[in-house]
Amino acid sequence: MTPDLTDVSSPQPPYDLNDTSIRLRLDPAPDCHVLLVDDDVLVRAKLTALLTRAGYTVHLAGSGREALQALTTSPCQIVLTDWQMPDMDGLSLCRALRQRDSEGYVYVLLLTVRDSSEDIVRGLAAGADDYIVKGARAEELIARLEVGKRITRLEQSLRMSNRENHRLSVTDPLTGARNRRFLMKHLPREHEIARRRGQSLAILGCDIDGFKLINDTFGHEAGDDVLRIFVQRASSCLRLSRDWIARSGGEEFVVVLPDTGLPGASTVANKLRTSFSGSHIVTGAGLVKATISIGVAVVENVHGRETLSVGDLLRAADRCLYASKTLGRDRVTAAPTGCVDADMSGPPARGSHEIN
Amino acid sequence: MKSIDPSQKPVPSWMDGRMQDLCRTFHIRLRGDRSCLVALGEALACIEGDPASAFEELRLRAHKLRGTAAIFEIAELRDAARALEMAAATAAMAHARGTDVQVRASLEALLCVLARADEPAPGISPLASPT
Repeated sequence: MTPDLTDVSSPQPPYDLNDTSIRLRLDPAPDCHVLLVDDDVLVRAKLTALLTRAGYTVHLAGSGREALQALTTSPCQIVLTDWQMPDMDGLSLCRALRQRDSEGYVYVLLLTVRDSSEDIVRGLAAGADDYIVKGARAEELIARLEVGKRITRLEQSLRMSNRENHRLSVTDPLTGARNRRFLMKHLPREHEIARRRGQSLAILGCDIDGFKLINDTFGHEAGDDVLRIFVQRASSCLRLSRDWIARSGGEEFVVVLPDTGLPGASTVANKLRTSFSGSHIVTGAGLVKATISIGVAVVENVHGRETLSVGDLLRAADRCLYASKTLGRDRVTAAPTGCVDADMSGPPARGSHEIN
Repeated sequence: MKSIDPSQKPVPSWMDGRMQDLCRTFHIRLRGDRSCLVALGEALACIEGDPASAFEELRLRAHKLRGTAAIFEIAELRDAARALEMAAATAAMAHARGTDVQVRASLEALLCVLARADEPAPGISPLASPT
C-alpha cells in the first residue's frame, strides 16, 4: 500500500523507500491515461484509434456510472466524455468527479454535438475543464487533450513538491527520523486515537549514553554517524506501519508504539537497546561503542476511565529514562501505568522497575 | 448527386485501414437507423393522443445519429439529424400532433440522406463487400 504522508492517523516513518514521491520522481514521463466515455461503440472505436495513435493510453466506459467505476480501478488523468448517455450523463459525471475525493486532479473534456453557448456554459459549470463539439478536426481534439495533459502534469508535479516539502518539514535531516515538530503535533493525535479506541499507547524515551564524550573523543561527524545508526537500528525493531521514532533533542529520541501495552513496550525497548549496543558502530573516525538508556511509559486506556495526558506520559518516560541513567546506563526502566503521577520532579516513583 | 459514403472522403494522415473499417461499419449501421426511423415515422402518424413520448424517442435517435455522423465527419447527415432533433424537441414541447409538418419534413429529409448512403458510390461498393 502506498504510504500517505498527509495521513495523520497512521504516520509513516520518513525513511520509507516506498515513498510515492520518490517513485514518481523516478518516472520522468509517465503515460497519460484517458478515460473515453461514450455510449456509442463506433464512436469509442474511432476515438480510441485516434487517441492511441496520438500516444495516449485509452480506457473505455459506456456511461457515466461505468466511468466512475472504471476510475476506481484505473485512475486516469483525463476524462473525455459525451454529454447524453444512458444511466448517468456527462454533466452528472462531471459533478460526481468534482465531489469525489481523489488524489490527483482529473481533467474533464466534454465532447458533444451540443453546440449552443448555453450548453457550453452548462458543461463548464458542471465541472468540465474544456468543451469541444463533435465534428471538430482531429487535430483540435488532440491539441485540447495536450492542454489537459500539460495541466495534469503540472498538478502532479505540484502535488509531489508539496508532499516532499511536507516530508522535509517533519523530518530530521540528519537521521531521517521525525522531528520534534512532528512529535509535538502527532503524539497528541496518537493519544486521542488510543483513547477513542480504548487501546494502550506506549512511548520510549531514549538517550544515547555519553554522547558528549563520543563527540569530544571522535569528533562531531562520528557523533552524527552514531545518531544515524541509532535510528537505523531502532527502525529495524519497529512495526513499519504503526510505530515511529522522532528526534526530540540532540541525542534524545522518542519512540511511539501505538496499541502497545507495558509487556510489549518493554520487549521492544530491550530489543532496541541490545540492537544498538550489541555491535560497534563504524564511523569515519573508527569503531565506536555506544549504549543507550531507555525509559518506558504506557497509558492503558480503559473505556470510561480518565486517562493520562500527553504531558504526563512524556514526563513519565523522561523520569524512567533518568532512572536508567542513574542506575548505571545501558538499561531500560519502565513505569507501570498505575504508578505514573503528576509530580515528575523527584526520583522515580515507587513501582518503577528495571526490566533488563 | 453527392455521395455521403464516408470512405470517399479524403483520407487524413491519421486515418489508416482500421479507420476505414470503422467507417464501413458505420455505413452499414445506417441501414438499421433508416429502418428504425421509417418505423418510428409510421407509428407517429398513427398516434391519436399526445405523441410526446414518440417525439422524444425520435429526438434521441436523431441526437445519437447526429453525434456519430459528426465523429465520422459526415456533415450532411449530421445536419439533417440535427434538424430532426430540433423539430422533434419543438413538437414535443408544443404538444403537436404526430403529423407535425416540421417533424415530417425533417424526417423525410433525413431518410433521403440515409437512402443515398445505401447507393454504392462509383467504383467502390463498401456495402456489398464490407471488410
